[in-house]
Amino acid sequence: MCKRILSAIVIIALFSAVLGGCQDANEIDAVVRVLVIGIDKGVTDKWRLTVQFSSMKETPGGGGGEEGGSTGGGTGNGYSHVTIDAPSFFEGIDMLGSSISRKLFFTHAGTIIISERLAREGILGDFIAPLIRYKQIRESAQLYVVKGEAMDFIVENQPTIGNTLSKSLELAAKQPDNTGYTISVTLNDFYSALKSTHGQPIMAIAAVNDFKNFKRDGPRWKNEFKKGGEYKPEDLPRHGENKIEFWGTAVFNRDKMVDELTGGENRLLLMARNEFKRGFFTIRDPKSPDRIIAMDVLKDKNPKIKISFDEDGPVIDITIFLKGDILSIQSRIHYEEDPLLSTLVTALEKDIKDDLDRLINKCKNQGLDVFRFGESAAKYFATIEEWEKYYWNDKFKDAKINTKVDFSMRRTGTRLRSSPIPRLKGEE
Amino acid sequence: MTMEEGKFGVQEAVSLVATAISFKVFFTSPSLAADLVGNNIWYMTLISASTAILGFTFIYLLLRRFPDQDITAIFSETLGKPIGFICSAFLCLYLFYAASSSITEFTEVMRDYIYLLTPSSIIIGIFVVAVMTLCLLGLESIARLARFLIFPMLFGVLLVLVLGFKNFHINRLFPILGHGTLKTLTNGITRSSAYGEIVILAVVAPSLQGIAFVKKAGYTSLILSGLFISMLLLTFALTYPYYVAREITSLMYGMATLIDYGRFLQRVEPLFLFVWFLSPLIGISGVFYCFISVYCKMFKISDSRPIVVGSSIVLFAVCLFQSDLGAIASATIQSIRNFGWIPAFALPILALVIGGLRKKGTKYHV
Amino acid sequence: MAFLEFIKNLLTYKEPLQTGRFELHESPGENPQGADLNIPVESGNIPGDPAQGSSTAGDSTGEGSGDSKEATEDSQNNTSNQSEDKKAGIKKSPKSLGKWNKDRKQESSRTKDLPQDLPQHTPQGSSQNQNSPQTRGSSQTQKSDAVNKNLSKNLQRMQQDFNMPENADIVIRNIKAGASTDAFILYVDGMVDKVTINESILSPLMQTDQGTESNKEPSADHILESVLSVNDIQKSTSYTEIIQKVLEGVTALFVDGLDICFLIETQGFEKRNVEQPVTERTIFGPHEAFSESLATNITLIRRIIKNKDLITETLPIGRSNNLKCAIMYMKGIVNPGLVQETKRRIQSIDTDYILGGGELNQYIEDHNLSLLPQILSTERPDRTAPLIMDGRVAILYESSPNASIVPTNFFELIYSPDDFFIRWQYGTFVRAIRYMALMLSLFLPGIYLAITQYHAEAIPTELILAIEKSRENVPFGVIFEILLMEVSFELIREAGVRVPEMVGQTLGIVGALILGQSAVAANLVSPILVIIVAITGLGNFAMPNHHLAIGVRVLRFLFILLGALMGFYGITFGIIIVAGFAVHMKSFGVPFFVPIAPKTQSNLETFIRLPLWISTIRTDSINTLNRRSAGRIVRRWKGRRGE
Repeated sequence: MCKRILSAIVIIALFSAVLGGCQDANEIDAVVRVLVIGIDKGVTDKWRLTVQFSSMKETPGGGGGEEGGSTGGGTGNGYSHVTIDAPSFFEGIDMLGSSISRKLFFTHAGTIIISERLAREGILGDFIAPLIRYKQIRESAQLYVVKGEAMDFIVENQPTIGNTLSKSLELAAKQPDNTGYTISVTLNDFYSALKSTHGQPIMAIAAVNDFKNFKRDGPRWKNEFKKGGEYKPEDLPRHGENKIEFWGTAVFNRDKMVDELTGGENRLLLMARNEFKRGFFTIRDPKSPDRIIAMDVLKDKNPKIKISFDEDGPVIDITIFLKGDILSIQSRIHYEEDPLLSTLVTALEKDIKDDLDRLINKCKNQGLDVFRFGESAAKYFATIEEWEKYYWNDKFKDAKINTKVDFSMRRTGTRLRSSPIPRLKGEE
Repeated sequence: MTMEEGKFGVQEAVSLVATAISFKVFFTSPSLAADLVGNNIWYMTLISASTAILGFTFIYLLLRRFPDQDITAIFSETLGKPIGFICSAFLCLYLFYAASSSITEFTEVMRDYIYLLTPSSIIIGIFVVAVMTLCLLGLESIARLARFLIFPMLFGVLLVLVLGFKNFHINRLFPILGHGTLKTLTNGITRSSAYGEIVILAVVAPSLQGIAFVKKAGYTSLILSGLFISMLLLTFALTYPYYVAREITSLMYGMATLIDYGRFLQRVEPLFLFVWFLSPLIGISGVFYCFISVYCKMFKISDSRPIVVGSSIVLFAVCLFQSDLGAIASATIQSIRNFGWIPAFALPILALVIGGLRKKGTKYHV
Repeated sequence: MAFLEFIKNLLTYKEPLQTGRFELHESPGENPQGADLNIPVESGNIPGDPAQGSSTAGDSTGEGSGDSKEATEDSQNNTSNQSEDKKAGIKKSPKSLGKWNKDRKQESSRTKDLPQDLPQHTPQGSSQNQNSPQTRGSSQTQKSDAVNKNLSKNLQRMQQDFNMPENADIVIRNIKAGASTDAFILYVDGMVDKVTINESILSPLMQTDQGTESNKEPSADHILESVLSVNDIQKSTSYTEIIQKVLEGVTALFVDGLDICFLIETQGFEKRNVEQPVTERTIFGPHEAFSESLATNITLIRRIIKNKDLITETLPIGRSNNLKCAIMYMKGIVNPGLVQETKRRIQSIDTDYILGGGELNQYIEDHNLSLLPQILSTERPDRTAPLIMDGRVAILYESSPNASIVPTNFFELIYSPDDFFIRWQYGTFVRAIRYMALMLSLFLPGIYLAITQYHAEAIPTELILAIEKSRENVPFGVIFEILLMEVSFELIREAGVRVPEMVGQTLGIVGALILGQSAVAANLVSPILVIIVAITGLGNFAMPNHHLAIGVRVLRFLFILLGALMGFYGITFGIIIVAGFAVHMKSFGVPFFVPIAPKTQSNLETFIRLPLWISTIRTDSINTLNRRSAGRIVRRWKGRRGE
């Protein structure tokens, strides 16, 4: 009798363990993996949640395949998306279950898109907090503010090269290392900066470019000089294939977006934040102003930041160290050696410094330390209490900032010297 | 005492004790510490370790007076049978409490991060079955298992640290004094309780070959785990600014999720899970075995197996009582990590002083 | 029911017994001669070289370097002294239970001593009371065992004992030795070399001039010294011994008037030649494997270790089938306790019938429930010989082409003789590959299952999308897929052993390829799973020890199950339980996971195949009498360190 009871208990215990254990198992094809999350301000409710996921229709790379009739979801290329207005993020997920037969999974959501309207209203904190707490959302997800609506961005968000959306997006997040025109901000970075006593948060800007700035016909360009970085997001004069672009930076005052930086400004921001890797720079030829000189500029070493404090506020000295190669000298003036080399270097240093000063002033006037100066400033305080009492973000308005750019020329490319194209005798 | 506990060497003892001490750093305690002292947790724990080393010195002195005896026997010899019994009971309760609260913490953190739907009873049940099995196999096997698995575990942790290098920012260590020196010092000293598991050595002292080995094992494990915990906390402080660090449930897991090296080498945290599961399993088995050991010695029971099975069921039940992480984090963990030093260090000191006054034990000449 | 017994057992209070579990601890240096023996390594020593020289068990700790001292102490820690325990137990047992304890202890010590009371018989003597099935269990026969002077009585006795009329292959040949004296020879047909019998026994005996010279009375010494021209002849007076020997292929010669019998060595039966190893192939090194003849097997070892201290003791195994096994060890190196324990275990087995090593191993291993082998079974003499030199005991068998080596440890099961024939860098590399193979074949399907079911975030996005797409039309869960594939793989494997050699290879390839391909095509499984199962299978084949490989195959299913139930948590639980039991295990008194857990010396050797001239110490855990296997400076041509 005793044995029977004992065996019954053992069997029940084993079964309950076995059955209870499987509750967290998700059969791999019973879920749908969201790749991109878009967040807008809703019309019928607080949140407008858009999710983009693979529709599992046909194996990508199957050589064309059938181009499914683009229904409301838009299934071209095997990706699909749904939008819903919901009172909260989580309820939105469940409400989407009405139309999507599989469980939504966010573990592979590498990109989160937030609409500019939402960011500008200063309620971003309300939206970020639930995301960061939710286990499935990865803190290493890339965060973008999108010009316009997040929903529109997702509609246009299709892989241009290859078939894999996630690959395109992940590689796009690595672009700051190649171009410097955009920045990589993860959810964790943004959240830290949001809570920070050291500075203000920033976020990369994404945009849908409907090619309106690209003028097919018109008077052609003369000898004016304009830098590539001066364009604003969604204004790049380009045409073709993909409408989405990542360009520039959104600057926040706490959770309210207050300003945006162009691609060029973003490069300088990266330099000051010690995140700059490399970029092609174009400057006016100091000797022949209608021509340009192109340089490949790379980070040399970490910037040197020194901070002292006087009555008015902090005094920040920052030196940025760059190195680079000459890519092209249109004028064919022999800049490769001194004394002309130092002329060229000075011109480049001045160019970068002027731009940087302009950027710093722009941010300083709004009291936005997005340059991580605060983090360096914390070194000069002994305890957290002292530091917090200093109110860095307020004091930053009164900061005196001295910048210095130190550029060293490393290589001259595949040509050692420039020499002019020989002219015919009659032309001279 | 006829309880067979087997013999093991210094390396096994160090592995076991260091695991039992260090696994807590993977769970909620670093963020609790960060809440208390700010970004300077990494040297606060060194203060705790030094305090614990001081505490262990007394344990060592006590053990030296009574060679080849365990703490229970020493208590009853120095403090007299009734008081010694009470002290042993107190120690016994502490060990049980340490084991049960750690299991509950583990369970709740698991449920927060990975097993969202699985009932607590399943996670606790599996845990208790593993602990019970190891305790049935005996101390020798637990120590050997610790020695065997400590290298894979260390490798896993170091891998996370090395890969997390990209997210380090040296400026996050500043302001260097955190919330002030006084706060750091007081918290550092009380949190020496985090190293209270060193008392394991006092319980299992007869299993080590002589007092010299106890000394060596004790100091080595304290120094190693102090350095290890400090290194981990330093990387936490480098990865998260203090205002974020105090919010995160498991800093270690959070740090692992941030690892991102290109498209392939990211999302590595599930592999780190093995370390996350293994270290508490081994550490708590060690602590729980010591509970069994003290209990059996208190009541002079020489066959521990029925006790193991019975108390495992009690452990299971006690772990199920506490059910939400908030309460555990604030009450249980705080209390055990703030007052754990009393059973771990104060009782041996008491025994040492009284034993000295009553002139018990042998003088140790060498 | 056994399970319930187990649970009940767990819950019942029992006074711990002094079970007398064997622990191999350092032998009490009572064998100082051991060090003086001619150990081959030292035979090359230059006399008087202070750096060299052996160390006996007694002073080995003192002589070793600081490291070795510590390690020795460590290893000592792991072996508790029984007698001490016992003393302590008596002294400190609680009063209330004292009486009971005492009773229990006496009882247990009585039972403990039982196996040791077994006769420490010599090979010949052992057959005395355990010879034939008839005597087993019945009262001892009253007949006299001594050979009678009367030939006809001997003949009668032999015919009776050998069940002569029924037993067709026993041959009794009556002769007239020296034309006058009656005699007969007795042998088992097929077990003897007939040429020897014809030319060296029958023909000298039957020559007529022999008889004329002798003075009618045949003398035993005369026959032995002058007549029989066979190399090995023994005299015996015991019927039991004679019967045993005859069964082994010896020819017995009875002569009228003599109360002794000549046992003439004429063994010559059909046997297989020395062939290539089947399961333990290597690229380098010798290609000889043991065969089914004990003499051949011993010879194969002797040919490698040409040393007088290589001891071969033969023991009978199986009460009725009287198979012989030989234990081989190096006197002076091996721990005497180990030899004694090995003999004790083998001799204490009370069963009618044992067929060779595979069966004996199961009788003498420490943990029968474990899934891991605790005895190293090898078919290679070149694997056996170095381990004998290392201080192990090898057991060789008649009728079994395997040697069993005790004790062993887990890591040795991963080594292959190949490691030592190639340079240490390559050896380390292939060893690392094998560890990887072990990990893969043990965990890969379980981890795949756990990751896909519980921890999908670990999979790169593109890969998980690819897996999902490939699984889109598969109707089953991953667990079913894995079990399906694993089971079919095991089927192919098992079938591959059985099918005739000519189609075997084709079946393997065809089976694996076609089955995998069509399973994918039929949407039964996803392609990635075929890769997983294939890698797992490959990993299993890469393991050098077949027994371990089978154990891993079984354990793999455990991890699949645990992975399916609880993901990584379940797998970790499995690791804890399996590793817990594994470190708990002992192989002939030596912890199974030395030198890692517990830590002993020569730790590195487990993962790095140390250069031969660096590993100069024998395996620490088996407490050999002579620790050093090489001089402090091995490559003497290089001179001393620092010169």
